[in-house]
Amino acid sequence: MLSKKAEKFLLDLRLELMARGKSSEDIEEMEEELRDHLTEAEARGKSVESVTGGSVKEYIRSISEELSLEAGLKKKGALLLVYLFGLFTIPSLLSGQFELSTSLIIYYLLVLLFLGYGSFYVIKEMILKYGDDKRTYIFSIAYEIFVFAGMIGGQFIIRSHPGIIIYEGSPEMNFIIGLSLLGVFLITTLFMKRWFFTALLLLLAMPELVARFATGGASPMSERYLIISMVALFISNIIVVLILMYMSKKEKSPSGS
Amino acid sequence: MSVSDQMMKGLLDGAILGLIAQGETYGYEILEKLKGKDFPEISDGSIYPVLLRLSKKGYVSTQTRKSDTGGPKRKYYSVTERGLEELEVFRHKWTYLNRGMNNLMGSVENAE
Repeated sequence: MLSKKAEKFLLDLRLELMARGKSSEDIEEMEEELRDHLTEAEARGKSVESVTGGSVKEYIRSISEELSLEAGLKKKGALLLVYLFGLFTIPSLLSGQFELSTSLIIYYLLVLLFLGYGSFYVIKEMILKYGDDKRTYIFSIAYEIFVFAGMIGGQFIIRSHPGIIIYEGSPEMNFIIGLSLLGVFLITTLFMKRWFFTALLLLLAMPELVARFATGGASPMSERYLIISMVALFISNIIVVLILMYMSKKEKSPSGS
Repeated sequence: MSVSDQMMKGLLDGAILGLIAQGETYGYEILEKLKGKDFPEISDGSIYPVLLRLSKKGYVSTQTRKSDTGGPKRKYYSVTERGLEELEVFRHKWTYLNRGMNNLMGSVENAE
């Protein structure tokens, strides 16, 4: 049985190496080996410092240099960025209201920073500080709520301060571009067998498509269009949450099925 | 990294490879043997990046199995043919380097 300090060191090591994009197989092996070493060292009365040489960060850095990066990490990262761009733009293109401005680009970059890197950083720090404690969940969820509130606020700021308009198409043109992009993204995600990404994109695009066809192409600002798209978006959100719950349950299942 | 640190890093690779060549062993045991041979400036954790490096270069092979003490899984290291060849090259270079450095440091001491 390892001491709390040793367990914390192993957790710190795992999270730091994950954050550096190291291969999960290498991380697993290194953790197992250090766990064995620490078990034997502590049984002989030695401390964690005897392994790290005093500086945990310096030790992790020296190990990190020897571990390989997760295969295809850069390619996956680039594809995810393209996908997120599609996820953000396709629904508003389908509604016909898309407008590319400098404010929107800054908004996307900030969302990526706070929702992507920020979320990972906050969750990592909370796990390191509190472990598997309710405070970790509370602070992480509070951060996500803060980011989502910022995203909604950001949408209002963009509307009142769009900055320089780079692209502004007619509603019909936007719809055609949106539909074409939706087709390309759906085919690509299906081809790559990324079912969750296919479903997520489809569910987020569905409210606009349903509202458009149900109203016979009415203005996206009309009351009927807004009500239908809101209801469809609500149903989509419920379906996304159900899919996530199903996936989480599937992962926890020992047989993996 | 200082010159002496770089030198120690290179020598540790050779020393660990030499120990593994003497028979199948594991991390903690390697460390104990190094300390037993008075290998200088070694912290417990410094051997693992070296072991990973040797493994990636194909100088050692590994096998993970339950430890005899009933603890967590343990990784055992054995030297490969490639590792033996590399060890021979290392020994050869070390012999010449050691002789050359002793001669050089001798004359440095005389100059002081």
